[in-house]
Amino acid sequence: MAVGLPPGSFVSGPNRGRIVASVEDGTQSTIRIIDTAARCARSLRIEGSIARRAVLTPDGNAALVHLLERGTRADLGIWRVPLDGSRQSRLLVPPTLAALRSAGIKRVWSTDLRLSVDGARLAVQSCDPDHCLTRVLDFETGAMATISGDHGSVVDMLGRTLITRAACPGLPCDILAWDLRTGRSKTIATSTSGAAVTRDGRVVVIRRTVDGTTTATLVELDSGRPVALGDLERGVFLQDGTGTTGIETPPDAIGLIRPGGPPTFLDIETSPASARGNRP
Amino acid sequence: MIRHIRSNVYRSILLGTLLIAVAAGTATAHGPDPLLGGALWAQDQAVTYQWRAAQAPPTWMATAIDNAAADAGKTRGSRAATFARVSSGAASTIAYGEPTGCSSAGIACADRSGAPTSFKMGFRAQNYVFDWGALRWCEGLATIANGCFDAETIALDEFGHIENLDHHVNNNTNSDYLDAVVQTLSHARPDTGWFAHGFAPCDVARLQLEYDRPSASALFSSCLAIATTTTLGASSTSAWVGDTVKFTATLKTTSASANRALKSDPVSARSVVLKRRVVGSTTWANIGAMTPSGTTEGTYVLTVSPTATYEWLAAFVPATGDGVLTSLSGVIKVTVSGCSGTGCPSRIVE
Repeated sequence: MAVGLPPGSFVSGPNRGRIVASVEDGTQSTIRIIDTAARCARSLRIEGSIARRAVLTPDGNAALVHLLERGTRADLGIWRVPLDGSRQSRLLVPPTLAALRSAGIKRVWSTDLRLSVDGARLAVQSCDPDHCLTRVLDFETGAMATISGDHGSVVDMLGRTLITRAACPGLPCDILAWDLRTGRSKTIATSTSGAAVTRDGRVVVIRRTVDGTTTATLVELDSGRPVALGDLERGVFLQDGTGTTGIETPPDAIGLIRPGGPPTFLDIETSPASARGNRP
Repeated sequence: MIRHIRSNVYRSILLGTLLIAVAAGTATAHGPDPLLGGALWAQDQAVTYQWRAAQAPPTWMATAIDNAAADAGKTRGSRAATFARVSSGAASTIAYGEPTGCSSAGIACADRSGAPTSFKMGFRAQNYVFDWGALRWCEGLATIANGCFDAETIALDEFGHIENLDHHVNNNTNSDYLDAVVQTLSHARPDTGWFAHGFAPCDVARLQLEYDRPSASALFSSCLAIATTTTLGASSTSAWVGDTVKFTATLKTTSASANRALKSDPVSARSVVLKRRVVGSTTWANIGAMTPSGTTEGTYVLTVSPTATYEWLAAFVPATGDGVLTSLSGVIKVTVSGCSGTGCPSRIVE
């Protein structure tokens, strides 16, 4: 099943067999929910706005969509778009100019959406090439935490911990864990080539060594203790941020991209922690 | 060339500014690019790359990237790594289009975590859409237009990252933007610095600090202010009138750890002047330019025939644009015995 999308489109998922695509063709935006198992898709037209990115709500009944005003490309915030076609509503206003300035952002280049592993929170990250402002909305309480200190792309969220890259111009880069209650961060891994979180809540970092080998390491969030998982297939890498590998990973695995080949994933034993190797 | 002249002017101005800033105890912005992190390449390491499978760029982008690799080699002013594309067998890859591995706000990105074995680089495709609109690479446009990014400039920035350069820390007004190509916010046409096909002084400065200069005679980046030491020796500290004394000066950088790869480097092909003064005087007179030794780097010689007792020193004053600091040697006293003028006896040899 192949779906061609215009350049202004983004895809998230698959999640429970469903891919969400925000499709923008220059004149009209559409949210497409593609069910890979049923090999069918449904579309929701977004009237008068540009849909930039979208993710499915944990209950699967709506898409959370970042919208821009058509014409000016002004940020309209994050909107909840029910899949049953009922009225869309704004979930989160755009970041204020003051908040962006405090993070050092003059113009937002990208806005990423990331649901926490447990589906309880939504991270909305506004970035320019050097700075990010990340707001985390707690669906249950409506409370919003804001991270404006130096940090990079969101890796994932585990409970009240936001995991991000450090503010790096490239790789290698450190990985930070932010306590959403205090706004404080700690470095949980240094000089990595990337990090990912399994759906069962474990943090994996990968590094390239001086001999060209790529290794994976499990990092315990509380203690910071690393557990070596072994070497990975040469050339594989992690997709960044809200990108997708195109495959749905099992709860105990992370997705990997192979240059020029199909995506794969790395299984991680529950106990003892060790890699079982790549699966195509 | 224009850039270099401007940079030197800035440097003069900035030196004054820096002194004020240091006196006030505030951090200074202008200086070598910071280090990105990870292992260095070997000096002069020839690193090859190839296009990532199924992600080869279109011809116009391929040309821009290859040109940037050549720009990096030609303008590195140091013994940093060089880059060249091969058709196969390279450990390093460059990709055009998704997946790039770039953060969502990046138009291009570099991964040097595999150094000194390999690197990865990625470029967003033409028309990739950011929140503000569609990315345009200048080289890919049928008619160039404002708002596009020069792919060769951006690729050079990325090769800078691969070398281990982090983004330059500009001053508050960004007036020193042209002092580095490796910048956080790359400028689109026609903003300052949108078209840069060679490393700038503060990029080269960091490359020199990490990889050393290409030779003892090479200039130091004008973004540096490396301290030097000049020492002076004489073939004899006592002589008869009519004797010759050979003065030998050595010029090198100091051993300060901040000089990194440049520490204790001999400095050749510079202007070192021999000076003398009457004992007890405070006024120095230039005697002559010392001649660079043809055999030992950083060594300068001058032979004179002193007619009286003098104190001597060697002075090194760098030329404009050479990122080193003035240094003076210690003082040597050469005692000359005998009379002066005609009728003096020749030296008595027993």
